[in-house]
Amino acid sequence: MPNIMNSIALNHFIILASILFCIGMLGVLIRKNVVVMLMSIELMLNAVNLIFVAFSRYYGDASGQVIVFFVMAIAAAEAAIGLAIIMAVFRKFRGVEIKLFENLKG
Amino acid sequence: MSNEIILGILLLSPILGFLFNGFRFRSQNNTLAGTVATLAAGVSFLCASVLFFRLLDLPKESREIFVSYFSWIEIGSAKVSASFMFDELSAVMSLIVTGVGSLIHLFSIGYMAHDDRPSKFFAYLNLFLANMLLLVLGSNLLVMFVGWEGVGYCSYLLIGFWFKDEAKAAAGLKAFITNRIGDAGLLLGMFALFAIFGTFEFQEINARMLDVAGIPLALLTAGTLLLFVGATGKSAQLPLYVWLPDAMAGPTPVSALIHAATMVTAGVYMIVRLNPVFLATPATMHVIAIIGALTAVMAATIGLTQWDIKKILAYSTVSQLGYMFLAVGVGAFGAAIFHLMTHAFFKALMFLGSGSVIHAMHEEQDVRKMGGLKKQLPITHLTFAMGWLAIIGTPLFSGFFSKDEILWMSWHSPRGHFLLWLAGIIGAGFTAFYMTRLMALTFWGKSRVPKETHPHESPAVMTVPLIVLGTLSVIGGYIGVPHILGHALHIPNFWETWFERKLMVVPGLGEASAFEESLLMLISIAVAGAAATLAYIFYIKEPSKPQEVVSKIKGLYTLVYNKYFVDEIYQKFVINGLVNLSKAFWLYMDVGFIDKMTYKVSDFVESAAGGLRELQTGNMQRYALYIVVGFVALVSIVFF
Repeated sequence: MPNIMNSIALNHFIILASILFCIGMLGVLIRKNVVVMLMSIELMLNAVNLIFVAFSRYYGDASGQVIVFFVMAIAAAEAAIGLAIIMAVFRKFRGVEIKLFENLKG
Repeated sequence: MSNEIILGILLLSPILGFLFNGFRFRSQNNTLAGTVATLAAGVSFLCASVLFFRLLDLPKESREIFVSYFSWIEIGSAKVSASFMFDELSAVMSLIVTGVGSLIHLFSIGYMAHDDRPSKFFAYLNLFLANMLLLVLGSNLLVMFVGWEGVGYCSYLLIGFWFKDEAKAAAGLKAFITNRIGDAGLLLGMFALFAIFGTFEFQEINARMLDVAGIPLALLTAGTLLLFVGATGKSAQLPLYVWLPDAMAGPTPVSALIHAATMVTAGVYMIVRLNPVFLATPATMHVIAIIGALTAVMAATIGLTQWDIKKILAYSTVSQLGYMFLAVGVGAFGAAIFHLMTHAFFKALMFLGSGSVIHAMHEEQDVRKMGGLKKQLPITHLTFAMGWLAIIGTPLFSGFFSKDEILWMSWHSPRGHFLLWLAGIIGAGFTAFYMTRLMALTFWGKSRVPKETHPHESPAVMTVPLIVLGTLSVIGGYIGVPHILGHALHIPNFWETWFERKLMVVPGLGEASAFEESLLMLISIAVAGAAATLAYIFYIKEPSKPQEVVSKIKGLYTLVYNKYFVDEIYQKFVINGLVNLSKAFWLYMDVGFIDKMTYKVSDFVESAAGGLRELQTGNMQRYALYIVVGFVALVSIVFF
């Protein structure tokens, strides 16, 4: 079977990853809902992952793919902690808007 | 003990007294405060006496105790050290200051017994004494200047001691400001001397004057004139005398100590200290003599008309200071210091006596409400009479010797003039008149005391100083008897031999002729005697006479009674102008320009800060945006 990957050039990956990253970034900057912001951060991380994988394949070097695993692990930890904080805030203030997090100031 | 230590104690003892009373200024324990202050002054007097006797032991050519404690200022080649000199002149001055000062401290214990802030009062009094000692003992102009300013400050504090009375606080301010005008002159004069001689040391300056070649005479004249301006401020001469009569607002012992015996003589002391410099500038000497003579006569005329017992004495002080300047101006430096000393005795005595009277009369100062106090206040009357006899120049009392020496020199000296002598004689006549008037109205004649006051003699703590000063007023003159009497009675003139080395003689001073001297002496005795008799007739024998005379010269009387309207003239032409100028500066310079500039700067900072504040709202997403923008900017700089 013709390798479909061979017909997609590297710059397609870069453009897609950039679009994903910008969408994620805009989500972080604009959305008020913390859950959505967390998802947007996830999106940004994955855009970066995509770049890593694409370059790893392009250069035939596996270390890029190794880093992706690290990123995924950290993202999972981050999601777990983030969601826990969100839960705590939700219990206390009955909402998940970013404004409510200002109450955490010392 | 070494001289350094004794001189140190002499200077520090009043400061310790000041600190003791100053730190417990709320205390109302009058006896403790007064005792400590008097002891402090007494210790100083003791030290001064010890140094005086040591000075006597020294050979005549090197009669001088010079102590330098530390180097004070060093700028380039100009070096000033905190050094003190105990020589013939400062010995006499410091003995007067501490001796009369101790007696007045003692008197104050009685006088301030009913005051509610005795500790503060005695602290100020001690501080004054310390500064006065700095003034007379300093071996250079700068140390003297520190004392000069210090006594002015203490005078201000003590005149306004009862500052709850607004008039008294204002009197303090008036004294201070008038003195500042003089002090500006003094400072400029000091700079002029420094420019010429390159040193502030009295001895070096005086030594340089032995040879006048190469000294710019014009600058020297300007310098001495400026120094004299300082003296007119401190010693209450025309035209800056106006503060002294108002200074009577202070407690009476203060008037005796500061405004009669010591501080006001600082100007005379300063000129005598620099006598070779002044002697080299005849123009300045003439100005001094004329101002002195004018002040002597003018203040005496005002004294004729006043009703306040302290005001009469105040104008008398101004007048007597005028005599001292007349003496200085004609080159009779010894006579000036001699009169300074006898005046310190009898004027301090009379001020304290008036304090005793005021104390007995329950703070009444108007002589019209006194009279016949001879019976109730026998000791005060007797001692006051000693002062009276001394000041009017009764033969063989101290004032006679000193005043006669001045009058004689104002005639005899080559720098003197017939008119100066005439002014002196007229002033002496007025002096005899107003002092006799004061005696008559206060102590003699019928009593005009209001029924509700019961005058009583003062306690011993007040009468003892009176008795001591009274004795000194009688015998104080014998250390400087005139030649003619001295030759007849075989009394040596200690005074002249004492100062021989220190005071230069006016060039061209001729030999005294016995006939001339005795004639002038007789004239002055006759004038004083006639004036005193006239006053006695006016105020005792025919009490209606003064009214008749006054109604005949109504206009002149009003002019003199209102002190020639000098205060009003100053108010109109000087003070109002200054106030308006200050107001203009305040409105247009301070408020309109300087304040406006600072407001502009602060406005700019505020608006800029307002813009920047918008950047840090605490909104997390905004911060994230900044990071993104910053990163994008960084990347675009690096790559494009």
